Amino acid sequence: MSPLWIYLAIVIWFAFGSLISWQARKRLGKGVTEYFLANRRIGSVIGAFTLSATVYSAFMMIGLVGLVYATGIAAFGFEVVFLVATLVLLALFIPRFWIAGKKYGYVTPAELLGDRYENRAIAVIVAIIFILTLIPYTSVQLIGAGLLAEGLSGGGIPYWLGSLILPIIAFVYVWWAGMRSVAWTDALQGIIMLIGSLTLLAFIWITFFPEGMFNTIAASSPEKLKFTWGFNMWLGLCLPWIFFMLLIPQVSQRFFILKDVRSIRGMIIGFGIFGLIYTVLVTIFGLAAAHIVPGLEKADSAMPALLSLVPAALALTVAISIFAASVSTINSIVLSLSSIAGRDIYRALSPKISEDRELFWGKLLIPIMFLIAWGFAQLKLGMIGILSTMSSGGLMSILPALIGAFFWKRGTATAVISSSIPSVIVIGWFYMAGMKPLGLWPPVWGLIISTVIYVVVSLVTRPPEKAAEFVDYTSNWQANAKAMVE
Amino acid sequence: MKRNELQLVLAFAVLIILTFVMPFTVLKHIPTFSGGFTFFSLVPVAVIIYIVIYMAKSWKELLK
Repeated sequence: MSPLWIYLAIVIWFAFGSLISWQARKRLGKGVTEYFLANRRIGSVIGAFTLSATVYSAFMMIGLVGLVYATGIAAFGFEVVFLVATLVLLALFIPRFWIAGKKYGYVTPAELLGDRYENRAIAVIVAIIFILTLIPYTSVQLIGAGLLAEGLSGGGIPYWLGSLILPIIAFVYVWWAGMRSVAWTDALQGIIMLIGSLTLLAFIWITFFPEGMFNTIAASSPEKLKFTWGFNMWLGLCLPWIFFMLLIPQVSQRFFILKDVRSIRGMIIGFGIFGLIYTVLVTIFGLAAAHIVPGLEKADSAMPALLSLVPAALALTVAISIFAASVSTINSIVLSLSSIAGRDIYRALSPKISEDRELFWGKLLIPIMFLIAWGFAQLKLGMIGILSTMSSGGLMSILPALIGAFFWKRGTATAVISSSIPSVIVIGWFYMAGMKPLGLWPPVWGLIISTVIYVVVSLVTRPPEKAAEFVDYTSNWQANAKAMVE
Repeated sequence: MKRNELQLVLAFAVLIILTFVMPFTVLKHIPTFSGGFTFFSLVPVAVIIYIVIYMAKSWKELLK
């Protein structure tokens, strides 16, 4: 495909997004809460779309399609476990995060942990873990975009440029109006993701499966419909993903942005419906690719191979939908990390900093983080792949601290520090060395270590004074929300 | 944690156990769409319905 068409499609897509972002800019007020949390005034529909588009990245249309292509239905199951676990956790945790944000004025999840455990060092440690684990994750999105642009254009758009376009677009949306712009443009990206996928499904169904898709796939690739993963692989991949949504700041920060309880309900239901539709579609693409383009050497090239067989206009639409998935993920990550760097790191170094100054430093970090992520994306694929896998696993180190913050009054600051640091080191070490003691994957070991240390140390140390008040207040969130409204 | 939340967690635990048991006992033997594909499609549908009912009942006062 001519690079000109790709550039044109990107310009049109970017123009629509910029219009939305400009509208958001017109409503931008002053202050950190306004910029990073849209003044806690986001409603159901935008809330559902921004959460969905943030969570579902280019991994779905490239990585998961490839995983289904290579290993069949088990990959679908793995994604479903993630979805259902997330829905239950959202129902339990969003109201608690939300009411805590309203009461104590939290802007970041690291700030919440630091305040609940009455230890500023915790906010700094968690902030550093977030930054170290999520920049490689951002880079993977850029790698996908670079490879896709290069592949679609037949090399006309070089990899470095393809991987640079998305951070530039995302930077404009983030910088211009912060969370409100990101949330609104995420809604656009979410709609594009669904339209692109549904159109592709319709075309594939009509063109390649005239005698029915399900019958044909069942006849040609029955092995893909059987569950083929081993137990340790299933456990090792599912376990970090079950809790992934709670642990990534770009998601948990969204729990602070909602305006009321109706919006919480709308966000959860909307996310569930979006997630179900998108996951099923992506699974069907993987299974269809196994029938249409069998025998590919690299499973991740299943979607590009599929796109090479469809009309150029459709391939371009789907490619834009994949770019949209990437942009909606990376803009949320960078916005979240910049707020964390300003509030949890810079403020720790300079406690008396003004809000304007904090916002200035947070915004300054936005282009720097995009540049670092782009720089990472120029490195070798293998290393980034390992770092990205480590990122989801590494976040398991703070899971006991997060759950304990809301549900266990005995949880202490010493326990958080002494459990999260060794755990993240062990996870990183096991990943780097390719170690799986007793066949268990690194995140499983990380979770065991951090849980044991967190519980034991909490029992022998004194809980902070705020713990009981915090746990009681967030547990009684319904009564407190009602009182707040009245 | 409130009673209705405990019920939600319990239902979730049962479901997760099911998603860890079914694949290795039943789904690995069924090479058709009525096996893993149907099972894994129905699980989120059931969870969405359960959560909609849970929120409607438990958060009733706040959703008026």
